[in-house]
Amino acid sequence: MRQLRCAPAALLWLALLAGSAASAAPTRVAYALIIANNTGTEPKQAPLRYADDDGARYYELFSSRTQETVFLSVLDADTQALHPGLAARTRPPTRAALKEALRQLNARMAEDKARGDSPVLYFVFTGHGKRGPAGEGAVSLLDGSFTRTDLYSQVIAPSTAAFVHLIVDACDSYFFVNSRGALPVAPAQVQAVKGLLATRELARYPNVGAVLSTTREQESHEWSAIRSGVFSHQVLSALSGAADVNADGRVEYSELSAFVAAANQGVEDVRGRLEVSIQPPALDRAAALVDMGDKARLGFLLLPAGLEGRLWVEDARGLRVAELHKERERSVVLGLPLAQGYFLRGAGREASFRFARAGAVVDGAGLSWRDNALAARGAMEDALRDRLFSVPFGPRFYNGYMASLGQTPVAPEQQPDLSP
Amino acid sequence: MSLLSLALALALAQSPTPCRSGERWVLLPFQPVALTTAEARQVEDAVRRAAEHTSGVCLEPRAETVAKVRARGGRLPGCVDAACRGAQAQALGAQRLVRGVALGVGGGRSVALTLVDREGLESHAVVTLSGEGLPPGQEEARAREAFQELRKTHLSSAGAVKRPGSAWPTVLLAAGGVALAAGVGFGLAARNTEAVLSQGNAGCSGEGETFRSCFTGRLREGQRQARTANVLMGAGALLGAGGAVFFVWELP
Repeated sequence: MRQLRCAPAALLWLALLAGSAASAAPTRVAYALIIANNTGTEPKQAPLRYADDDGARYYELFSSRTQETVFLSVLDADTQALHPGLAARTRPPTRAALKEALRQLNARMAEDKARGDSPVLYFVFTGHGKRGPAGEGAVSLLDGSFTRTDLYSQVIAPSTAAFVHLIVDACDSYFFVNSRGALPVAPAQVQAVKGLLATRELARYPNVGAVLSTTREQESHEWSAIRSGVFSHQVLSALSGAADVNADGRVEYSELSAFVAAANQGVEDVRGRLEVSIQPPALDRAAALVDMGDKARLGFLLLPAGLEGRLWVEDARGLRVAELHKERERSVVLGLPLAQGYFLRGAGREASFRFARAGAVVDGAGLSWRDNALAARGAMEDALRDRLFSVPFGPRFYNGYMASLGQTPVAPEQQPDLSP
Repeated sequence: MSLLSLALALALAQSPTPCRSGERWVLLPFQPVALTTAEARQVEDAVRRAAEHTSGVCLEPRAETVAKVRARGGRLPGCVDAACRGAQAQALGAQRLVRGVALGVGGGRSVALTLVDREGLESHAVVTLSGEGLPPGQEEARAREAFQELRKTHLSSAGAVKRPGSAWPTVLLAAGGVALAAGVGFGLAARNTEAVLSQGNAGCSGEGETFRSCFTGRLREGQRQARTANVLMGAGALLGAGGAVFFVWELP
């Protein structure tokens, strides 16, 4: 009897303990540093058209989700017209500006850590990259190269973030983060050089994940129809929620990897093929790149089961902000910035929608569709238009993809409660 | 327990609970998105309570619905057209079927509801249950609001779809018009006969029995025409009134 009398008190204590445990969980605080540079440091590197546009899109995505986003870029006239007011918030992508931005963000993240929060840094670069004679990768800033040595010594090693997510859309960006192949030094010096290089290996920093476009032909992977690099378009689509295969609201590295693979699987034209390298942080391979459950200044588009096929969302400026090929039985939620209005488009049809306020959800099944015809031009345009996202992405593709890699998949999709 | 009573008990358990009043509604278990299964169940239960307290709605008990869904593999396939949706509602024995997606995005909770009838016509409602800028502890009230909004939307859109298809007012008014016109015709004929009879010989020739027989015949013909005219005009008036009532009934 005494035990029974004590039961409510015990339950209360358990609830309190559970509550205190929940409140003790560190809050995830995100920051983003985005560098976008159309120009290269070498004369043979032709200026890119859409690196700054990609940077602007990353800015729109991350500024709605993060505590602070720093954008280093010189936007061209078209991009400034498409993103009014954004130029005033940018700084030039120079080494000095980068150093200052890193100092500022590291100070903020150190404060967060001292407060018991868990800061996360997104480091994004879009622009030119190259591999030097010694095999070291570098990306182009306005006033010179930023090498792998610089990346490790200035960004990764001194970072106060609990997790760093590197997203690099540049030629040979694999070598900007990783080293590979024989060392170009005499055998006597190999051990010494290896010791130095070990400090510049991702394995030494298990809290760092990398999403890299490793292709060599950057120019061929820009697509004028979407005013974007193809890789960045796919990554941005994935991070908007399109890659969340199990509908848990989190986009993990493995989901992003499978999403990009599915998006490119149908491309037969070698010019349109992407080579990517996606490495999750070794510390937590299930770390989320994006968590839709976090507070954010976003609206959410629900694409429920029943909607299928290739779908994309364009904003009122005509910019394609997210794209996917949806399996019918899968429910997807896309987190989109609060713009003037959007169009959800599919094959030959479109529906308009808008978000009334931050946090608002629009049900894609309730939209009014109307017929629409789209035009494209050129062989490359056709290849990209017809073949990109031609393969449906969902649990079937994802599970097959993960099985082929021999990797552990994410947890299965949460099912409705079928207990009575 | 005998085999017979066991079989009877099983049959009774499997047959749907009868609805004494109202339409039979089936509310499917909610699909979680960025929420756990348990959290989606909380949202579903809140909407279920709202449905149970709505007059004219006879909600199928959850256990029955779950048993049906389990029998179909644990999940109903997503439909792309009205025929498939209508067939799903009918297969579940529902006059109206409610699907729901419970979402935990942007730091709050929302629910997206879809209501489908037996014709496959569907309506949608999305309501934010909690989140930034909303007072806490209002989830139950907002779930109720979501359900009422869904029902209202569906009834108005279903009415709008069905209204143009109803031909009864037109048929009744047309039939009434024809009857009235025929009644007027017979009335005129009766009036003509009356005028002929008032001349004295009623247009009959001869004398005695022959004249009487002719006069009586004319008189009866006039009476028949007058009676037919009255019946037709009465029927026309009734049909016209019926048509008018239907017309007003179906006004939005």
